[in-house]
Amino acid sequence: MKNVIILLMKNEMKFVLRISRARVMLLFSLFLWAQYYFSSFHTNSFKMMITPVYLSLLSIIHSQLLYSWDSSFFSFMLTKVSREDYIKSKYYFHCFLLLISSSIVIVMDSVKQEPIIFQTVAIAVYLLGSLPYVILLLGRFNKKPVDINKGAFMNYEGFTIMPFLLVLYLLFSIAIFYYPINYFWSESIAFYVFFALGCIGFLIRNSILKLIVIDFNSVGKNLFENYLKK
Amino acid sequence: MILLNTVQKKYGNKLVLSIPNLTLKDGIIGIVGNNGAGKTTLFYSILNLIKLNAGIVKIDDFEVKEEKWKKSTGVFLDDCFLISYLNCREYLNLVANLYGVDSDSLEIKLKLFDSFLDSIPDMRIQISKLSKGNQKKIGLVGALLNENRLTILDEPFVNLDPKSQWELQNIILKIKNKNNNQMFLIASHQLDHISKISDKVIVLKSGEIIDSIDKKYLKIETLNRLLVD
Repeated sequence: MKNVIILLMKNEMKFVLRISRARVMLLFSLFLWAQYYFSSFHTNSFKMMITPVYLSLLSIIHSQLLYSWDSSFFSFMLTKVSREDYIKSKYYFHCFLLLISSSIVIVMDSVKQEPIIFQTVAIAVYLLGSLPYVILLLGRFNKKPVDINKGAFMNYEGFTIMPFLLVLYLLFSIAIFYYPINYFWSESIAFYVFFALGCIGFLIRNSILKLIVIDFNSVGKNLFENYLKK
Repeated sequence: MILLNTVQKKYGNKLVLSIPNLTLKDGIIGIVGNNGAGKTTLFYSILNLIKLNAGIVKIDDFEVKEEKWKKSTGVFLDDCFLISYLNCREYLNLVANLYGVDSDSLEIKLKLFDSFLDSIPDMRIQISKLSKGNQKKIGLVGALLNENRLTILDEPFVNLDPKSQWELQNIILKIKNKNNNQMFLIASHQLDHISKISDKVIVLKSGEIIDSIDKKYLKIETLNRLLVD
């Protein structure tokens, strides 16, 4: 990974730790994970619909304001960093958040001695190979700037329906593969397919990111002009 | 060298920038004009931040969309170039690292700004907690520290005390004199500073260039007359 991307990721980490709204939003995940831990799922198929949301909780929550978080220093980003490095830093940061969320859920499953650890891992890999791209593509539609100096309490500035769309994506993209494969073959094949799709998605990341960067060449300018209007 | 060819930018139906042909060569180039003259829009066009309705902008023979200029351009237009949650030291480190400058070289480069930055009591103070003037100083140092091939500054003297304005003027001249192929684009309403340091001044009005004056013909009265008329 390039130095610049690591620098930008470190910077985003500092952002999360220092900006109260970003921090509080992520801390909200603890409450949802506790709910997950104390819930009992009666069937695998039901759990498979719910688990992806918990596996990607940090990423879903933080991605609500994907580019908007940077609105107060967007000019800095667009003039000091290449668009490719900027997009890649966002991509890897969301992969990092996904890894943390997934690890927490997998540890909780192990502690609860849930019998479906492999299924959880397979879905986590599937998400790693698909969700960050969806986040980067949906992020282009949220053009609202946010004031990062405002507190977190009752602050809905910049919110859109993005998390709702992401949850819909999670439910549908899992269901599209899970139910047909489970019906015609078996459940375990479905999870091998998820695992394989996730690996393929992650391995071809450079080609997909190239397309997202091309798209961002015009999206970045639109976002900049919108942030100027604030 | 910066080249602008048939550049046009409209906001709605209003044409805010229209430059048929402009070539800017090395040296300090002042950009003056009243509010809404198109100075900042000109900078946004050069920095590839906005969608142009027409035209091409090139820096050193490369179209700006190719992004080759980013490694060798320092910019400070407004506080959107500052990252307010970082402290001064972290911000300057980040800028230096993005240019590929290590911390030892950064220390040497910062020596030039010692006196300019002495109003900041502690470099570990978060940027958002500094006064407007000190925030501006950090942004300006970020733009100038790498002594880039191209430096673009918008209203660099505003919010600075008279001593700092004088120091900034000297720093810009020192950097320029060190290396002859450097180029500064500086927009300012402070005609005294601009007329002192510029090798050439471009006067903008309603998005168009109405005059371009070389150093030897440059007088503050002439600029005043052009802007007031």
